[in-house]
Amino acid sequence: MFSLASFAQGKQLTISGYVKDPGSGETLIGATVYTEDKVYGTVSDEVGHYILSVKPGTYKVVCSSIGFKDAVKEVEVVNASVKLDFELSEDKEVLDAAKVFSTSKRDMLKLPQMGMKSVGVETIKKMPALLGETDVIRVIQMMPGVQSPSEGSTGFSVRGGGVDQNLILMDGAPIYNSGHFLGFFSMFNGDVVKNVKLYKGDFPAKFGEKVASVLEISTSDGNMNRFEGGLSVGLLTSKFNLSGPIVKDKLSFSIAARRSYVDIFFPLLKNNIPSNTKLAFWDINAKLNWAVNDKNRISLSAFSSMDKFGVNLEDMGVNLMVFNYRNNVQSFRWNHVINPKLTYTMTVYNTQYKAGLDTDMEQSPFIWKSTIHEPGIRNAFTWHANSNNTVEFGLNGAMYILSPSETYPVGQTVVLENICPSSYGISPKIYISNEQKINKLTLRYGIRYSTYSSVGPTTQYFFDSKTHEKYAEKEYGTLKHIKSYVNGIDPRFSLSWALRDDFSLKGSYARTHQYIQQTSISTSPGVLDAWFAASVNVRPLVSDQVSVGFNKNFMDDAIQLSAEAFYKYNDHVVDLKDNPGLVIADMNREGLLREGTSNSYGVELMFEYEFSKINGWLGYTWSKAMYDIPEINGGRPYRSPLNHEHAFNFVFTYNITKRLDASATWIYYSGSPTTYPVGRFQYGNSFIPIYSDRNEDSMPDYHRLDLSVNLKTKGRAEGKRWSGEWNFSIYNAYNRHNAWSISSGFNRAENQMSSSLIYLFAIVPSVAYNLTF
Amino acid sequence: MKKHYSYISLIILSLVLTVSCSEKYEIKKSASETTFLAVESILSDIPGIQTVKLTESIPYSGKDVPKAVSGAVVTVADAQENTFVRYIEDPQQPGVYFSPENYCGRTGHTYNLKIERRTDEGTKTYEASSTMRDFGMDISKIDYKYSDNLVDSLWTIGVWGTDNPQRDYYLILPAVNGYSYPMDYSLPLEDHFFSGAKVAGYSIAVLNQTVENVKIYGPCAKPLATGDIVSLVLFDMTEDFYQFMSSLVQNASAISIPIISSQPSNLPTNLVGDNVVGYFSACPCRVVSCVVDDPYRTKYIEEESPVPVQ
Repeated sequence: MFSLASFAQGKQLTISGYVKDPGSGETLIGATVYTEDKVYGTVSDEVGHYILSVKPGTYKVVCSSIGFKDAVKEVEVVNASVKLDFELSEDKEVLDAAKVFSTSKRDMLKLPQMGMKSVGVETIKKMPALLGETDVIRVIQMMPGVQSPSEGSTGFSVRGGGVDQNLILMDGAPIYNSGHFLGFFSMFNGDVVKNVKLYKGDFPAKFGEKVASVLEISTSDGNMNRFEGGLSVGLLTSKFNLSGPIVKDKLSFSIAARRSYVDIFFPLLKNNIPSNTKLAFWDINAKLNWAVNDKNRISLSAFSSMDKFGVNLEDMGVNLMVFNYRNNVQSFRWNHVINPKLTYTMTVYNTQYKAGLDTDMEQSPFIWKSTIHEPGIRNAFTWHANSNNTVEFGLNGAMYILSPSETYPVGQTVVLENICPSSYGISPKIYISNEQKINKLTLRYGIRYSTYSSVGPTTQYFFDSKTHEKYAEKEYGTLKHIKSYVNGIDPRFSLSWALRDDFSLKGSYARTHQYIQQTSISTSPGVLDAWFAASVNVRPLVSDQVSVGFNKNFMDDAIQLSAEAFYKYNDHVVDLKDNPGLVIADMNREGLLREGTSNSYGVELMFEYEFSKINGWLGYTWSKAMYDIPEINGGRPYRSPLNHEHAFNFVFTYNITKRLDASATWIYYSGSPTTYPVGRFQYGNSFIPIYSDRNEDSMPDYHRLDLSVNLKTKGRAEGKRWSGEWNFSIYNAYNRHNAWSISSGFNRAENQMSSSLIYLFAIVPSVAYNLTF
Repeated sequence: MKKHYSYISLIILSLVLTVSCSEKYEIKKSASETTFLAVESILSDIPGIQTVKLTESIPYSGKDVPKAVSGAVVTVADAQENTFVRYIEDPQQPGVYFSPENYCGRTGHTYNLKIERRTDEGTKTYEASSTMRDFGMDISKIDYKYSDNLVDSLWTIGVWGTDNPQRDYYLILPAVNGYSYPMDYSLPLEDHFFSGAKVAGYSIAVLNQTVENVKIYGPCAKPLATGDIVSLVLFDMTEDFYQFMSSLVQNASAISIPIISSQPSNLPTNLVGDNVVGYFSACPCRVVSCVVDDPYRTKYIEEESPVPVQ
């Protein structure tokens, strides 16, 4: 079945081209292109290019994409391949209806792809959002199997995996911190997000590096035909975006920026908040897109963000202390059509993430910083061998440079310079996979191979694997080899069996290696969490995941039910030992790690409905995730802090009129695992809690209702150059105090133990006005 | 190092409270059916009466006072000299066991604590071992200053001396007029920022002296006055004891900070036996004092040199 014979199917030619929005000139990702007899079909790639392998003949080719009217073109394919571009006109009715997912439901039935959801920008914009700010990650968190680690976090956990186990790619470049305001808002400006794809475990062979999920975000290329833009004023942020042609139909630009100003209101709260408190973020997205010719497209993207939060606490001898963190990401992408059957995409990227702390405090001002730097390249080929076989292969490479902790004195200070050794790693990867159609069966099978070499220049500490005592340290020069891991063979397999037009069964298996891991130093994921690269002391994380499921459509695809069950086993998982202290500046940080395994399993159900005025989905997840690390919790397995056993997600949007729509989301999940005290003992004058097993208990269940109403002005409808939209939203409509943390300790003033629940947001109403032109 | 991150913790807490709210929460969980023996003991190298305090753990909530463990047989053996002393329970303070007078640990000697306790299930034995080493820091003096840019009741204590690069952990316990703060107020200090350096006027401790705190901590917390004697009791700690003390100080706090508070877990212990918590450590100790001449003096008498010299 998998032999080369399957590639020999007689003479096959191709129909290929780009799918575009004629209004903006932008190409459309994920558009479906198929012959009217539905014998041949494909989906446009990340630059809107498609290739359809067909036998010679005359075909009516249909092109459809969510939010656009279908286009049909007749084409005769005789002796040579044919180029056929589509320009789809907007379907206002459908756009207003805010279709939920950008890949059509019928396509999803047949794709040998499990646990993948593609979300269109219109959906994201219509979801209620915190303080009026639209948020990609919050939409992702409404999917079954995806959970928020804690209240207010835009990081996410997929199938019990850690926040660090998600590969987040923006235009092909990885993003290490996806949250503003310590993760309360996502980095991704809704104005520039063009398409979002989330893979929850069944990764195509081209993806690896992280074991839990891949979140692929494509940003807008910019309008090729005319200038357009938008301005938004909200309670939390203001933002603008502008795009347009530099050379019409050839070269376009897109730029967008946001700036928060919540700290402007702090002086009004001067009795409650220390003076000069900083709490701000900004981000900028910029992109150049050049359609060189029919065979070549080039884009250059840049993203920069900065978060600052700090206080002036003169009463405590601290003139100013500011936490800050920033992303700086650039990517260059070249899409080349080598021949009608073979395309090539090269992505060169450079990602830098910095977290820092600037202090101006009595006697000991200092600067602390931590940096992750990842430059890399991806070379991806897609060969449409024939109508039944599509082969993807490629060669990737990345370098990982981690500077975990650097402390520098500022001026006259008692603080000494303190630098934890950096780690350098080189990781090449190669992969090949084939998607093969055999009647109603679609298979995708492939293999990915990666290695990781830890190299100098650095001072490598060696820790005994049993006692964890440091027994040696050694200097290594630039690129001097320290340790290699060469067994990174990752087989991938998935199948889809379309038993009927509206029913398919699916199954998949994937193995993935991850070479850098993060451990949370706290009970809530944050900027100070520590990253560890594979080294002599830390082995790469290896994950195996099996999943099975089905898709069933009802009522002419208006309703879709999908179910998936999964089991995941991770080896070489690390966690910090009990009572590790504050890890961030610990020179012996690798000695604090303990290694073991983790496993998770669960069932995910999703019920999507999509009618002319009403649409949304209901999701339910039951899952368990356990760690088993012999040197933690007395060797007894313990629950992952990110696992919520039951989770419900309900999304509802109602298009009341063409100008008015309303939406509601309700989220419920079992309380986060935590550890409560079962007793106490006295030491000195204090009482110290005695705890039960780690994460044996649960915080109160989490639930929240968000409401949103969008009202469009009449401007655009009357043919004016601009249009406006009011957004009214209520976050946490019934004002539930969802726990961020519950802590216990000895309250000396009351001379007894006490526990407190910290919550972040009560009810938060907001209003924003968006102007587009 | 610890000091700086204590500040950082305080500031993060301020930030957290800026954007969040907290409310009292009642944990609904059954108390452990297991009762733990709590052991509190430091053997110093200063001749005197050494103590071992034994209590039982109690349910988490409520205002119960831990029950003293009386009638135990407590001995400390010197492994090098093959001798042991028996600690005798003080009739005035049940559960507190005193060594003979002028007893102390000696550098290089390993001390084995043994506790035999009769219970309904028979006699239970608990043991711990600790080796006394020499004191790692050469301290010439300490001084105080009133911090006029801090809140009204704070004094900082500076230290002059030279750190031993081979030693990394100290436990600092402030005292006023011979009254020391309780152990959970102590400051476990890691010396990464001045390891092996000569320090002059390095502010190593902060005293929060208020009338309100006197009610909580006793006479050690009274606002400083002329003639008071301010002392620092410094212990040279092993890494394991440092881990215990730093975890203890963190766990003693009523509010943890979600961003930086590690997963709740029981304190490490070097005691071997069923259901036992606490620690036994043989630690060299130095007590350095100064006399308060002007309590509101805002500078150290000797000009400080804030930059450590390696």
